[in-house]
Amino acid sequence: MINSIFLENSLTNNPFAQNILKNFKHINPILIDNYQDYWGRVKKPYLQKRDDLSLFIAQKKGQLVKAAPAAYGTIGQAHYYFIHAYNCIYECQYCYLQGYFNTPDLVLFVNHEDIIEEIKLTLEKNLAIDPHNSIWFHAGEFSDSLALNHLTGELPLYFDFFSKNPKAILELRTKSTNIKPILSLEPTSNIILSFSLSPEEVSKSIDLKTPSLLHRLKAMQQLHEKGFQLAVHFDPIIYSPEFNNHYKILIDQLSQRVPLASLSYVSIGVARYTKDVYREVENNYPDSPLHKVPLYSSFNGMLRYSRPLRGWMLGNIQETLINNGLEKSKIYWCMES
Amino acid sequence: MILYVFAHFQEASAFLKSIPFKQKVLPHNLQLTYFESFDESIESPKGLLIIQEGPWRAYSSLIKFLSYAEMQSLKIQEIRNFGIVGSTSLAPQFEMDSIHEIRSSYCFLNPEFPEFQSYHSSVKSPKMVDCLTVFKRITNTEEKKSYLPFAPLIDRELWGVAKAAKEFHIPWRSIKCISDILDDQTNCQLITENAAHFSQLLFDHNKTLEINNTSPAYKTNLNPIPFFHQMGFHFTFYQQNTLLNLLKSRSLDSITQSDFFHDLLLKKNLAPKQKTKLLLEHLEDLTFPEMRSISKKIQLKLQSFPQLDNLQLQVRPSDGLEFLHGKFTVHNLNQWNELLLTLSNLELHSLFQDLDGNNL
Repeated sequence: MINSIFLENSLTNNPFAQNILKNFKHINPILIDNYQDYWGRVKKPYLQKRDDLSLFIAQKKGQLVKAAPAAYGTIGQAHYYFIHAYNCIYECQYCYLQGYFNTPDLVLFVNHEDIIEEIKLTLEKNLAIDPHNSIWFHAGEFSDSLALNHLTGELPLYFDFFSKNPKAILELRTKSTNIKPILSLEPTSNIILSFSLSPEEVSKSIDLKTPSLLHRLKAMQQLHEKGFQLAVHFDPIIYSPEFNNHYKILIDQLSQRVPLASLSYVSIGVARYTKDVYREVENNYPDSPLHKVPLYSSFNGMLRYSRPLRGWMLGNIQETLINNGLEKSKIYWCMES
Repeated sequence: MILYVFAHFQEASAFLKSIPFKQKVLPHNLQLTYFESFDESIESPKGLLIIQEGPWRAYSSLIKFLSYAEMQSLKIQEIRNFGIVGSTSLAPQFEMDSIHEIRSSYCFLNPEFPEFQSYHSSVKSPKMVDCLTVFKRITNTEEKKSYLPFAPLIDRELWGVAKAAKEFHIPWRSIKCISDILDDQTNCQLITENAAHFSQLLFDHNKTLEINNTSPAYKTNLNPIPFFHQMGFHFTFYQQNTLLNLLKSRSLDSITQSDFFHDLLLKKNLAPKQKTKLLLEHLEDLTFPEMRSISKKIQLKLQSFPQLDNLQLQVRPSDGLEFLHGKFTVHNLNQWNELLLTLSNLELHSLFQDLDGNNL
């Protein structure tokens, strides 16, 4: 899939960069000054990722930790996200990355020490205002946070920092089952691995090139048994006439592997798109089941299902979760007003 | 017709020799060299246009020709660009004389930065490669190499061809032959001398090509909107998309052969826009009946507040029932106070329960 690699000149001796390159011995990296001179400078078709991707190994400059948008995480706590990569190897039909960047090419940032330093500063700033509050740092906003970690190898660094800073909570969002590098690390209560799950029928048709639901559930079980904190994202929830039944089955499958009461939280969110992203989704996946229900401009301009439908769907899933042993306080509606 | 497009006459020489083309004299002000072949021995009619090199010159030549063709009702199914390219890569597949089909076309119109806009072939195959159209002839090896991050091939016209094709909604494909490789200092004189050889290679490759049946030109024939226009409907852009989405869960025939559709056609007193509104409502009823029923319920609840009418306050739900729109006119403070009092006494709990989907 990756056919060419671009490496920033300043990173030739970076151990994370060398670690990545070790896995692509058949590709001679092209040395460049700055990934921004090339990456996203021309519009590349999103679906080109199926057979031809370029990988940029780069240094993230500018703001490394950013405040998360409203309703991004559990209420009452500060939420930030940090950027370790741009773009993803998976191909989820609803993914907003297809309309967000102008290219599907991957960027892996390797200046993790700088990112951790900025996380530290953000934490200190927040704790100075309220020393009792916990501060969340989410990974996986612009890329799956585990899918490539066997190549990148940065997780021990983050685990080390967060285990020493219990007021900082790290969330690693993923659809990956690439958990082997994690299993060798020590679980701590403030590092949460959150898995995005969809009913099997839905996942098969729209989560392309991702591990199957069964494999994701098995990975979650393994992590739970090793003592890792887990969370779940039912997001995006897609309407179909069988939707309610599908989610009842999914929640049942999940609770057979991981007790719902042990989850840190469950985030639920109905499919939503900016207009630009939806245009790309229509263009890339014209026959997708995503298009079968009408979408309307919603409270923040994003295209969503009608308000009653969203409320009804989220209410149903919430009820099923509560009936299966999850506390209501652990459920949040993602990106809903 | 398939329109063959070349930057230079020499690159087209094998095509002109092997296909019974006849030069057609175009209006003088077009200043274009164009050939046509309607010979029965060939698969489909062909045109051959010389557009000269340079992205803007190629673009303007092709735009002029396509405008002329449109006026002459000449239907062009596909634009096929052939030409020679230089390689920016040392990879073995980019050897001299090798033929490549182009996937995406990028461009540097000046030396500083690339054009953001890119164009993509109507053909999809994993073996295809990208081509960068550059603003001047690049003869220096180091300079050629600097373009590798964008594409392994560089030419002088494709981006202009693809841009013009896109503007006329015509699918394009491009086949290129490598005339100079990366470790060579480009010798333009030698390339010109070998033009007939490159042309023969391109011609031989072209014999293997079939018309791409998945090109957008064919897809547009499946668009049902013109059919509905013929039947007296009028669609806004948003309504067109809504219809196309609703059609994804049912066949066009199942709609056009329904009693509802026939009844709708018979209603001569309905304006085209009203017909469209009723059609879409009907399809939404069929596709998602719960949603339509809650929408009707909310409408009825709003009508059950006579106080609103007394104040000439119009309230209606937005599309998608996301919020309520209110419209009123106030002339004096008394009216304003009366409005506030009436609004504060309205029992809206059940209405908002409906909006939040609690009664679905």
